[in-house]
Amino acid sequence: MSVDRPTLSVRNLEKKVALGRETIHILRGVSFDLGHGEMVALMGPSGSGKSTLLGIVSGLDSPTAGEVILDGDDIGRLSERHLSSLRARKVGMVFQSYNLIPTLTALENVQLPLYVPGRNGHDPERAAQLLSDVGLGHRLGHRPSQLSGGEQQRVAVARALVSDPPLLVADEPTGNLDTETGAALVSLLLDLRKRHGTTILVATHNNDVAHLADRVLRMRDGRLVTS
Amino acid sequence: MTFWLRYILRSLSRGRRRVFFALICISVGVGSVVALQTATLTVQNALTSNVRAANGGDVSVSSDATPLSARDLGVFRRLQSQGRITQWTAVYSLHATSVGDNHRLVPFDMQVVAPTYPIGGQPTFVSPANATVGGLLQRPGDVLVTSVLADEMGIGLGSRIFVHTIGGRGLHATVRGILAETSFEHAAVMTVHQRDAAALTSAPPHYSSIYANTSDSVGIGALLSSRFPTANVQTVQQALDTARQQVHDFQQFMLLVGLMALLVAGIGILNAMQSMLAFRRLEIAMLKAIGYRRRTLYGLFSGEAVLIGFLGGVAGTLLGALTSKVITDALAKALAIQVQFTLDPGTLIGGVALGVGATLVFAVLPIVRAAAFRPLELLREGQGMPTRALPQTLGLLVLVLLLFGGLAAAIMGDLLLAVEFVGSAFIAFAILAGAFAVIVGLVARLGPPKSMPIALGILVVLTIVSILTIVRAPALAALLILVTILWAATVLLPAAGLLPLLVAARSLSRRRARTSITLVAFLVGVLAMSITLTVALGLRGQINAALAAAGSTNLVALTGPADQPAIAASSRHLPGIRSRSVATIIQTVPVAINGRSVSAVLGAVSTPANSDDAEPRFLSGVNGLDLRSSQRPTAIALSSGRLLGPQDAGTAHAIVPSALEDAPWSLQLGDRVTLSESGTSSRATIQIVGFYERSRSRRGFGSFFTAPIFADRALTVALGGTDTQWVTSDTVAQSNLTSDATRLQAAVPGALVINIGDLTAVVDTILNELLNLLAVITALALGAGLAVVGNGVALSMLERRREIALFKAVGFGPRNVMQFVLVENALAGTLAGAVSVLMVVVTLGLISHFALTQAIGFDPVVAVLVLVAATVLAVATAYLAARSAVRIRPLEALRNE
Repeated sequence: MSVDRPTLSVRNLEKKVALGRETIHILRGVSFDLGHGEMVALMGPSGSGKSTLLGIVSGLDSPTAGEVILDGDDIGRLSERHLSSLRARKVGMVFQSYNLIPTLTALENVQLPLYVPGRNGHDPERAAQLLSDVGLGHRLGHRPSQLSGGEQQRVAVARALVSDPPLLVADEPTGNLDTETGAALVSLLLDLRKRHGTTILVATHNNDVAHLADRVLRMRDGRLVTS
Repeated sequence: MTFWLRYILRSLSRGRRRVFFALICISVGVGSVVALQTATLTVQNALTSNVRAANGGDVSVSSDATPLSARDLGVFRRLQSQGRITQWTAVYSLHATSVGDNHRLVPFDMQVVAPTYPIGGQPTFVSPANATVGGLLQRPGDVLVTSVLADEMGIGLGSRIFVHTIGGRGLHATVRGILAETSFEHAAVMTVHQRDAAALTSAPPHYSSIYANTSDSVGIGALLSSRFPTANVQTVQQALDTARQQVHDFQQFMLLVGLMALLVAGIGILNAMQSMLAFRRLEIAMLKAIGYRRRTLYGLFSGEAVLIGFLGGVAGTLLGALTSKVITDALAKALAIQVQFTLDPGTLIGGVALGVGATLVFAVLPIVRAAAFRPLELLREGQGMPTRALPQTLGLLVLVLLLFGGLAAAIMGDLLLAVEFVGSAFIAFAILAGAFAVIVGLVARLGPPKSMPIALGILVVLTIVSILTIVRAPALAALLILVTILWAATVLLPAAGLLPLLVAARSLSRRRARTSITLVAFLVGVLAMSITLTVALGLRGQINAALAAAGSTNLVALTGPADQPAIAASSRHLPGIRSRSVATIIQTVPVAINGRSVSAVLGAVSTPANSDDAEPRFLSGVNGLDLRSSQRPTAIALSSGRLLGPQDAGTAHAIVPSALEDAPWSLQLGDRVTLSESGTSSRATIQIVGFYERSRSRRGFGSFFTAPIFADRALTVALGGTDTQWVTSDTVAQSNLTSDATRLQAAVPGALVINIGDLTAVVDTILNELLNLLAVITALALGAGLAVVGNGVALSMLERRREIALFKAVGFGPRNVMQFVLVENALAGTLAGAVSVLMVVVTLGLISHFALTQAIGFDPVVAVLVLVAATVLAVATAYLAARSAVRIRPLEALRNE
């Protein structure tokens, strides 16, 4: 995969959090690049800083120091308003616990990012197409409570891709799924990457997922130990 | 013990935001009850603290319908000489008018008092403070006025006015004192010393009230009752009982208002406790998993409820104490009485106890449900249903109702009334909540149309129906327009624009039970606001117009025989005169029926002499008609017999009220009734040829100037002589009414000119009093309703943190998320507003149908105001409650919750 112009570039990333009188150093000088269409697995024990790193690169959290360049935008320098806009345009997110809006149907959940104010030129048919792509073309009008865990996660993947973002961030996407459903989800991610050319950063404890990735980044105590 | 106390305190500290919302609800509910209780106690003190003075003495004898003559006073002289009464004084009344500082011709009652007056203690003065009647009525022309009369005339201490009475020269009066109103009677009365009587009337006095002091109130009361069977004899104890009964009814009403606010606030408490415990469900599951039994959990959570209730009770009592002065003043104004504001320590302590009690009552349901969660499902999956959810919830609801009923009975001291209140409130709440649940369910089904042509077709139909409804029933269109707007938004808005509406509609429906109950709570306040606005804006003009249109007579002049030619001449030349009629009136006392004395007739039946049925008012006066000229009585309907005609001229034939056909009078056609004229004591015997009823639709203010018996004018003149009152009833153009009334009064000073067409002031006074009361109720109900809405939004925000975080994670900003919340609450507010408008429209329709003959419509301006106000209030409350919630850090919520 080409890394000439990285989709995501992380340099000397630091994250400190004050807990009472103590300061916890969660990320310590993390640096890496993700190229266009690359799928990278992020592994490490609990508390190593994986989720914090994902939160920062997806624009949900801000770094204490360092630089995160996503598709040309320096996340650390963006205001809250611009971060919202960046999340709507450039990042798709998949969570371990799906996080679908319970009151919206599968189709409406996928359409959700398209309706963020200020977004123009989206194709409303794309949501239905993506749901068909993830094998849920027959479940468009169902609400999350009417879907299985695997189906909900597939809706979440479709939602993450509907804006055609350059980066898809997945935090333990197979964590709540059984082995078979989890494997199906990973092959779906690979298939979608091939079709859409999306860069994928996936945090996981699952070695099967890591084996399918182009690269594996391993973290321990807030540092990147192997790349 | 310390461990559990620490646990409770830390749990409350952890859920401090939810605790805060619960505290607001408890404070509003308790504050309402404390404030209203303080206000009613203050009113009670004002009405019962000076009863002897209000009664005029140990025993009072009142006889307005058939006043007592000078001869009747002999009884009191005799009783005093026998030493059975120590003091007595007689007061006689006159009708009078005067033009006040506001240039309005105001009618009022004038009481002429002897130097011995008062004997029951000095009345309460608004100003000057601590004055005495004797001290103020020192010079000729000195008068005292009640605060009601002072307000009506726009006069104050030192004001100089000219008083007109029938046949009198008139009196140049100076206001020396203003008397406090200490009863619900709202009387416009002027008190004058008897030295000025000569200027007011030349007729012999007709005593309306006699007061006596005695050590044997009961014995003297009984004696006077038998001596004056047609008078109302009242001892201080009876007066006190009457005042207490009046205050009791009023107090119960105000407490019901307070309980309604407490009930509404209780819904907020229930919501807050439910959310607080649901938030800790994993913790509860853990406690159960390690062996805690339900009973222990009940104890723990009840401990928390007691602590919250205590804090809320203290805050509510403080709130109530602070607002009670304002509410007391508003109530005193509404009731037109003067009060001395006092804070009762018992009420304040009771407020704190009420806080604890009410919190425990409304916390029962969430506590029992929380303790019933299945720990395994909760610990494994993060969510789980309590065992036997529905039957248990229904059972708990019944328990809450019973407990609240007990609380209400304790507050009101009346179990039956409490049961009635709780039962009817529950039924009303259930019906309304059910209706809201259905509406919210339907709204939640909104979504992009599947077939655009059909959707557009429905939109066209809805629009046409809405337009037709606006034309035919403007106010009813509110709900329909709301539906049309919602449908239009669904059909016409682009998908991105529709999203907030969809999210709002479905979020409302997600917790349908809570939403419905919150909407009912809010509706109570909005409904109170609708009624207040309807009274303030819509009804005033319509009632005035309806009353003005209903009665043709709008100017009445009362004169003695001497002034009658002058009135006839003057009224004929009034610029606005349209028509006029003349009748005579004399005051009479029934003496015998078919030759038997009245006391024998009344004594022969078991009905007490003082009961309403035995009221002699049906025989207390004769209305003389010019039968030779075919003058007929107006505003009556014959029920049996025949009307009077020219053939009855010069006879003693008469028609009387149909109520006399019933016991104890049991009169029949052909019966003969002997009447004695009150002043001259001349007697005449009339023969009944017909019975009539006053026609309800035309019972205007003019009916006050007619007597119950109709007979030939010659009979009244023969009986009354110079005592005969001549009533000239004019119909004058509305535009000339005020000037013509003043002109007529000025032309004939010895006449009593009453502008009965100027109803605006009367209606304004009544409506203003009603508005003061309604404003208090609205403030409390709306305050409680808004507290519940704010609470509901805040709790919903806490429960939907994850959802909000997700919206933000996919790129929506805090402003967009706030937009969803505001649209949701705007929808709820508008819905409550529309339903309240509908309810007011239906109520007005019922009032128009059953109580008035003219339809009173609902002002569309009020509908718009209510809809806008309800929406804005709901949106503003939601904004305040959700302001910080939409700023959550998404990562935190998504990771931890």
